[in-house]
Amino acid sequence: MSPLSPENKNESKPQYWRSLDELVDAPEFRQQLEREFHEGASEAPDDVSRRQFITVMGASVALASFTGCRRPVEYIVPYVRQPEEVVPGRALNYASTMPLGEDAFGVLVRSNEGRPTKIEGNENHPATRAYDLPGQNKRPEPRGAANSLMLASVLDLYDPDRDPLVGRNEKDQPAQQQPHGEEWDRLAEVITGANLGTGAGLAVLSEGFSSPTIERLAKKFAARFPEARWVTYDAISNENVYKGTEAVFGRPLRPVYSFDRASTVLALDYDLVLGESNNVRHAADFAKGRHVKDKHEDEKSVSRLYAVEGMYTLTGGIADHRLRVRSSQIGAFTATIANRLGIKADGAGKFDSRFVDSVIADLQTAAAQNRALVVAGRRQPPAVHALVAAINEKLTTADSLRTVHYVAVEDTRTSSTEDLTALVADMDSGEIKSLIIIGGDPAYNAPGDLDFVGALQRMSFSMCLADRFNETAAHVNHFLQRSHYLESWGDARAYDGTLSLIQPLIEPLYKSRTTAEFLNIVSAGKDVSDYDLVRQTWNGLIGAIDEGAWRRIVHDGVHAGSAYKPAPANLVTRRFETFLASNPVARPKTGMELTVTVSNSVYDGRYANNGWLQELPDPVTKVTWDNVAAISPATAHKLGVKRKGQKVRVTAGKHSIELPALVLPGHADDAVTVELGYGQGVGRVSQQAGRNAYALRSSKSDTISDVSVTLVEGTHLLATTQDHQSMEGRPLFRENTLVGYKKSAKNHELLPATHEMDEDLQLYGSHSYASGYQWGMAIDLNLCNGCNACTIACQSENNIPVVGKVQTEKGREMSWIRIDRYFKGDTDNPQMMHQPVPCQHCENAPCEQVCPVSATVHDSEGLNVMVYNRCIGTRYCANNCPYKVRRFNFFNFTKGKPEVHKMLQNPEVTVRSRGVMEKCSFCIQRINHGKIDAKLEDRRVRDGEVVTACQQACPVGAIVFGDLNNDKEWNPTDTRVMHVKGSDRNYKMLQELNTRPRTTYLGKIRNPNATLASAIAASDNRSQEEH
Amino acid sequence: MSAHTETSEPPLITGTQSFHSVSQRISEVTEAPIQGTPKLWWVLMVISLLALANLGASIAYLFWEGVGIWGVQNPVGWGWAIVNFVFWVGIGHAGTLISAVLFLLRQRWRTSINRFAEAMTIFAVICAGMFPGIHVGRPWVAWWMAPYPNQMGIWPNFRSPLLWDMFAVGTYFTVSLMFWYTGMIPDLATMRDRAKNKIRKVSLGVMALGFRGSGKQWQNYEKAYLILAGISTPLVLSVHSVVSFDFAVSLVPGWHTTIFPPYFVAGAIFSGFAMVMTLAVVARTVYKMEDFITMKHLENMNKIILLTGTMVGYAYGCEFFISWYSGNDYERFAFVNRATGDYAWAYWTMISCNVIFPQIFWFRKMRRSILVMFVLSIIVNIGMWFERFVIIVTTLANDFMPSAWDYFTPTFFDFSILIGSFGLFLTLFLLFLRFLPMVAIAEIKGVLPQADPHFYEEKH
Amino acid sequence: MVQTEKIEGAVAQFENPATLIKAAQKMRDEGFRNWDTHSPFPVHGMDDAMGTPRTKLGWMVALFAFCGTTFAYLLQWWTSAVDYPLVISGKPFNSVPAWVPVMFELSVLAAAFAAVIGMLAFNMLPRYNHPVFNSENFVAKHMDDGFFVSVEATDAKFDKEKTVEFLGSIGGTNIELLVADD
Repeated sequence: MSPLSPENKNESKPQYWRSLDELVDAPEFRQQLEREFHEGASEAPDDVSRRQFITVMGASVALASFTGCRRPVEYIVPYVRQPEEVVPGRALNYASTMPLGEDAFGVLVRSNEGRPTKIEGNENHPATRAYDLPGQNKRPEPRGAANSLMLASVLDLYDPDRDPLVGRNEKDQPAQQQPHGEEWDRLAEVITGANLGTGAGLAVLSEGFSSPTIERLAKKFAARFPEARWVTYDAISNENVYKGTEAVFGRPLRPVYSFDRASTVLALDYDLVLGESNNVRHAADFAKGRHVKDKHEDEKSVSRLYAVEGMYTLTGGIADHRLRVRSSQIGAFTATIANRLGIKADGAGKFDSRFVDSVIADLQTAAAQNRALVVAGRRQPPAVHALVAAINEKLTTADSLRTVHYVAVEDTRTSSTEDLTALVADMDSGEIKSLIIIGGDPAYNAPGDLDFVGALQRMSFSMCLADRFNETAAHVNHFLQRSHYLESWGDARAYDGTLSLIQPLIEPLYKSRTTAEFLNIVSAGKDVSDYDLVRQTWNGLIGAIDEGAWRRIVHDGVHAGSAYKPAPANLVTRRFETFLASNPVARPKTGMELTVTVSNSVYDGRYANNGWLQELPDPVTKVTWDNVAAISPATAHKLGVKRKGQKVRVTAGKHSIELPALVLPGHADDAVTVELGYGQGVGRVSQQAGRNAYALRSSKSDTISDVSVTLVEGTHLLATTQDHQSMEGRPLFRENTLVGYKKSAKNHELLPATHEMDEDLQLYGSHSYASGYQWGMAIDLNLCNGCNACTIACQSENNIPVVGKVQTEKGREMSWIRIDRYFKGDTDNPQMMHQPVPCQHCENAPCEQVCPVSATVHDSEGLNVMVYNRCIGTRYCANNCPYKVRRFNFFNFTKGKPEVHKMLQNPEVTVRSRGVMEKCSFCIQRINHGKIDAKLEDRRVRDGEVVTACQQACPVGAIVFGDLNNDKEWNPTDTRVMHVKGSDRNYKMLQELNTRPRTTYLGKIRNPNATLASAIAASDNRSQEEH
Repeated sequence: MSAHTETSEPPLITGTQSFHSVSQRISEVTEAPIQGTPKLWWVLMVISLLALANLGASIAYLFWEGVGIWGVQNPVGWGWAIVNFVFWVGIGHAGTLISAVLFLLRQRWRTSINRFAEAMTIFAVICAGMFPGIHVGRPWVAWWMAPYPNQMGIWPNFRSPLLWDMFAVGTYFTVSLMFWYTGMIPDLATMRDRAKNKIRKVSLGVMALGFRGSGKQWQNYEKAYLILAGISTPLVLSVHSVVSFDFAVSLVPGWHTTIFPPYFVAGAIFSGFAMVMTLAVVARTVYKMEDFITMKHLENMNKIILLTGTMVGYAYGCEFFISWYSGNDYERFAFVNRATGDYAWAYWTMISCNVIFPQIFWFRKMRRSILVMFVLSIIVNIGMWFERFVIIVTTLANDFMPSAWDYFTPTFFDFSILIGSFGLFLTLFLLFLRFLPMVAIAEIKGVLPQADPHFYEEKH
Repeated sequence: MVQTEKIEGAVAQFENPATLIKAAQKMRDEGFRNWDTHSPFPVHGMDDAMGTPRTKLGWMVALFAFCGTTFAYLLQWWTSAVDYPLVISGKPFNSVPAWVPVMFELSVLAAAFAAVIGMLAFNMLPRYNHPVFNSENFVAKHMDDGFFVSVEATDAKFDKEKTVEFLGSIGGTNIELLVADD
């Protein structure tokens, strides 16, 4: 509700005002606040007027005044591989940690002159250790990896919405504005003023966390307010998993998986690539089990993945077999598997027997070597997780080298929806009168069947600590801004329990504090710096350590060897059976069902204000800037959906929202899947994107039966980056089955087959690239799972602008490395393929000869270089590029950028002007860095010394980059990339054009179960006939 | 050519014309005072000026914001701007073709139409030349295409068909301009001598260069004209060939075809003649030039339209056959997609306008009906515009990478600039009609029976 | 007032192209040098009648065309292969087949300029004025429907009376002496 509406006019009066206008709430003033706000990272520059541009310039003056105090005052330690001292123009890397709910990811942050500009994964951190192709590397060394959320989180630091000086837009409430930071200075008074006594009627609603320091201060808070209630809520959490393990083992335990050990994996509605906990490590581990060196690879050593799911996920895409069932049938399927394995459970259903048989067969074979693993998605009910735990115990034949072990978590608070439900009830009943909200955005993401906002309005005292002015902030009477993790000292426990340290890269840009500092002020009234708070905690944790040891920890970002010890996990049969008896797996109902799921781009919505992530195409649907109602072709036909973006109304209980429909091949029938995290009421970027599906969500379950989905009038402008699903049988993405591949004579037998051309058949002799570095890249499609990390890494490294929804819809997205997604086979249950496509750096580059001004030419190292300041923008090169990797600046896309985003720019990469072409440069700035370093040390660039941004981010090591010069004088031994390209799976895309790309692909190898393979072949043939 | 053949076939110029009446009839148009200008001329002029103003405004906004205001995107990097460019260049072919080729072939009927056909050529090429300039992302540096020594020490890339284009169109424009002017010198002299007021005296005096129709001057003059005609003929054929290289030299399936040069030239002549027809009919009615632009002329042009239209139709068929015969999947797809894909509507518009409708010119009655030929000439030009649209847009929209396929949608500015270019063209053309001799006076006199010395022998 | 007028030549009008041709032949046979015929359009057979030699324009054009071709080749070879060689699509620096279109265009351009400029030069145009323009009648008719023969005073055989007389004898009418107006 609007603060200007009479009922809450009085609360909404500002305690502080900037002008009398504001006090009397003059329309001009609100207007001005609104206008100030219009331009934003997400908008197309053509929406931006000069005037707005000037306004932001004004706002930037304030920023300029900070520049003096940007260096952190505490001792933070540069990363080993970088010089200790700061050399201007020389970036330093610092280790830190990104907390995400119960997860913690190790990050390596690049700082240019004190500005955090780029995030990488920290190889010393167990959660972010990438898989590296073995064998090729002479000096094996761990590599860091990252997921899209980590990579994009740096943009959130510079989110203009965090700047209290910039006005809010019309949806927000000027009255809620706090003059810069004032609220923090008087926090202590406010708390005393609220005379909360011993905490009677006080509740804290916090987001889930796993941080020793916050836990310590939470206890301190409890001591100060003994009667206060502490409730933890996260929209996305593992609470069902804990309930499940509790049912089996007698206490809530966290399963820690080792996908690299598993030879057969059964994923039940579980996306190991995105959306689940610890996904970077899981993807990396899984890749390790999938690696195929060459034809002589032992079939036993390649793992097999079965996916059972409703929505098509990336896991379904890399699976060898995928069974399409509705989310609500997962329970029945699990029960079926359990029964077949001799575990008594009701609710088994009827499923494709061939599929079930081969699953059982493979699981049992794997179990024989203790290498079977079954995993279930966090959205599945506790019963499923209980069953899965039981199944895994059944399949575990030895206690050493388990595929899954359990740990008891510490310093961790897990979300509990029951607690939230109770809290809301008590807020309504008046038992709770004052509420302190720490993190999260419950006003936005509380389940639709709880009227949290209504309850919040009843509070006599409400305060929230939030990362930015969000919906909750708009409804409380005290909003405090929390520091970004790149501005904070703090700590966290990784998924496996490893103690990780959060160190700041920069002084808080705006007046903000960390959760720890907040809790300390609230409970102790003293303002102690986050650094001291963390030191105190750690002294308690690991004993008083000397400065050197401390610096070591700060430097590594982790405290080595602090992971949780495996907890003894003994199946308590009776307890388990009584639990199953009391809540058996739900019998799937007939009729339409709705599944709300975590967004592949913006997680639960906390990243919804991030332009990069909003514009990042969903890896499966390729939709940007929106959440959609994903339905199967059959369901679409039933509903009468014909065109992309036609609106449907989804009604669950008394709530209903209208969403653009998206027909997704392979989606379960009679089911609709909607992503959470969109349609926020507040936020310059987030509020432009999608609809809020939390309204439909039930506090009971994420799978809601008996929903009605009806086609309504109108079409929604849906910005998808790929509209054509089929590969038209062209040999672009090429693959084979492990068996077929081992049999095949030549790599021709990757499918689809191609006409290999004799590359010497050409009018001219070709240019010789015999001497010096010859850069090239290989992309292993067998490892790639399409997780999008490379795309974001590239965007952040190369200053690639966000163009906004309208421009993306027009096909003007700027991503230098895009991920093509194709479907193959019958449209009801197709196979999904992902192929990253950067510039191929063709030696006979078709783009070059057509440029009238030689703005794109080859350099001596075989790079196809783009000369921005020579380019006049004929776009002829883009037309003539068979791989369509060239991107054009149709407008001045950087014009509308908020001033603060300038701090984010990578100073080593030109910001492109309007009217010029751009494309992947193989991170030429990094190549040159490598060459300069080598020159200074009077040596040659070492193999693996130059790492492209996409390669660095990739969790599965699918991208390999390096020198291709095979002159023995120059490279006595093969470089990694030469070795990889040596594989018989190596192929050039569109080789028959004789463009001689420097980027080549390694064909995908699927490892289907022999008995099931025939079925797949059949369905393929059917679809071939369709084309 | 002897008087014999001359008298045996119907006269090129009807009505009893004396040398003087010819000068009079044609010059008076340009000498008329303001109020003497036909109403219709004013109406057309106002319309064209509005369109022209619209062009100016659109281009200003284009330069301010960027080419993003058009529908162009990935993968369709070239949109209407290049379609219009090829369209106008095509139109620009008829003029020189009529003046040069028909001159070499001694087609004396050309004399009535060649002057404004040439004018049309020049104005069309001006419109065409505008587009490559404004379609680039950074128009303020478009001149970097020119090979001139510069502080960057860098030269243009002579391997690029776009650069060939610049040279071809530039040469074509310059040569056509000289050809046109050379042809006009005697007429300007005629008008100079008729000039009454000072301004006309001076301006025409300057433009006529002091030409005095002497035997020696006529000798060099005719030689120069012959040579210009001789070199313009390969030139006019080369221009559209080079334009077609923009596509043929690329490797985009549907562009990379060797048939393009002849196919483009045929198309160019086709659309060019259609445009001459449109204008001839207009000029004829506005200025009552029936005696000079007779039905014979119009019918001859209709025959050529029928011929070239059929050639274009053959080219369409040939493309399809070759793409099938080549066995190249991408080629095949490109052409099948044109006829059956998202843009089938454009393809079939093209086919019906360019191949089917012109067939009515098999009937003499139709060839000789002003209304029919006027309507058809417009239909043909619509069809030819669509041909370029089909070639450029539909081909780019669906090339090698299915993942990149997208659908091109034009914006308001695509339309306004196309309309604006017609404004520019018509404005120039109307000014020409009003102030310069629209028919070649000296050449008309040359084809009058009494111009031939032998004409008098027969009398006594 | 009496003063000696400067005679620059004489013009005589003739009825039609046929008579002009005959007159021209007579003039030629009489051995005049600096004389000329004037007609509103080129009259067939006039060159022979006047006995003027064939023009050299063709050669001039051919020469210029050749220069155009050479220049185009040298320009492209030097800029792409000598002054600033760039690796473009792996093609050789001097990719001759790609030079052809520009070579052709520049030849044509040079030839066209040669033809026009040459024509004007041989005709000694542009020219500010000429004695014949002193005759009202001539000015009014020579580019309209009049056919004239003009003789210049500079001609050796020119003589005020004799020439006028001769012009009359070959059928000339409206014979005028061209008097310099100063």
